[in-house]
Amino acid sequence: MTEDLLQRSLLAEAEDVEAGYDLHTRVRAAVAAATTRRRRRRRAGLTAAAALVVAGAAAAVLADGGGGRGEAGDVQIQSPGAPAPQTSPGMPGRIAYVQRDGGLSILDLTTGETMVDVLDTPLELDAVDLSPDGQWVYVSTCCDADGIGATWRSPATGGSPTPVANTIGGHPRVSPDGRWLATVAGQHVVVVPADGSGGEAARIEYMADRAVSDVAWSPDGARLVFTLRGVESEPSVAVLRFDGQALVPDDAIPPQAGRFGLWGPDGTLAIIPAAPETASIASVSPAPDFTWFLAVDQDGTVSAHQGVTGDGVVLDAVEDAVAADW
Amino acid sequence: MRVFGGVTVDLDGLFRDHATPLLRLGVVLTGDRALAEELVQEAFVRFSQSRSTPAPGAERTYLRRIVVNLSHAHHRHLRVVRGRRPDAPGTAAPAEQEAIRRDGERVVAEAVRALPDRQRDCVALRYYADLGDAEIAATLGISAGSVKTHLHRARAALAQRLEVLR
Repeated sequence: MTEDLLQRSLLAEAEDVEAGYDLHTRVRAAVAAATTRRRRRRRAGLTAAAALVVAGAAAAVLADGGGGRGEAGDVQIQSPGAPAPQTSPGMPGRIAYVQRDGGLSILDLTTGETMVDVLDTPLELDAVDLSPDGQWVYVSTCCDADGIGATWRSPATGGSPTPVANTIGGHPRVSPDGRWLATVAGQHVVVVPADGSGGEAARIEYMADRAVSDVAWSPDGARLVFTLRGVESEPSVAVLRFDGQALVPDDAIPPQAGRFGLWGPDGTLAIIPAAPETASIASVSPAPDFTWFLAVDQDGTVSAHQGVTGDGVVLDAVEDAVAADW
Repeated sequence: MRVFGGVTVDLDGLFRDHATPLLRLGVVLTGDRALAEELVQEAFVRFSQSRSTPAPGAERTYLRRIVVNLSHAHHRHLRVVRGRRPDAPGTAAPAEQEAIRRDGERVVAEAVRALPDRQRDCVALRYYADLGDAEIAATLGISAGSVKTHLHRARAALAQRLEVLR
């Protein structure tokens, strides 16, 4: 098998192929139709986004824990498994979220306006995170033929994305100090420098005995919580210690049953149950002025995300409201 | 001329400059002219709807990436239809019969298309589009090291499958 034969064979495959007038006409028609659909979707999305800003009374209902779904004003149920919008202390009043049509946007919470369409790749976007200083947005794309994703970084003000070196997997999470990026891939939890520096030697991995997902940093950046999933076993939540050199199991927090773990601002760890006896509401505060509320159904499905800001603004199901295929 | 995200884009000019190379890449990747035209059409649609226009000069890389990724769906479909893994040998006639029925170049191209997605992408971009490791890496969103690995494995697999042609 010579390289010359390989090249000759592939060139011969397409040597007579030309893009003609017919294809040009079809492309123009398809682009026009897609533009019309997008305009319609954007108009509907802005209307829905504006509806996210509701009175603080709804927040009080949820915060008291006595309301649950259906009693929280404008609460909208989102599809299970949709990636949650992310916030950053360095970008107050705004959230980043993945749209289902392939884009990633930053939304101003108070006005409902899309501030910047940050990233648009032809790849399927998986999940998003922001750097703590609000300067960078990270998004994972999923997946190649081997089920391996990659993580990309783009200025939060917009611009072309660049792959973060040596990442594999998805679900990017930036450490609280902004230095490290955690992702998950198969049975691996992977940590790399968030700026992609250091080459392959800088990649730090931990291999679990089952598939992993839903990784999250503790507020001090010294621990990572993640979920272990197996075909024949209930999901469980485990914690790794991280010191900049290695990832090792945290013996002080043994694995326990649960769908995923969430850190509070004081470092306490909440385990969202895999299958609670009754539907419940859990909460977590990724930032001092922001709280996520999650509704957990009896089958273990997290079926709603509501965010409450410090001044009582309630957000819910943002990515669905904005990005649903209207 | 169309305006996307505040940037004026000459869609007709893009088509004129890039459609034929993209269509040929699609044919190499899929072996199907009609399907390749669909991939190219969808690539231009996605390009036109993108929220961040690629930097000047990067349009072809961007469009090429869309075509490559869209071609994966075609191969996934083939794997389902044929009920086999992507790295299995060709499913039509045995390679020896193929060599008799077709010329050697066609058999090589079919063998390339039977490779796993990333190996096929790297081979097509290297040996058809004549890209270097860095350009392939940028197109596929993987590292240059991964490109080398995929190419090495692809060449080894092709050499094994095409032994009959030697």
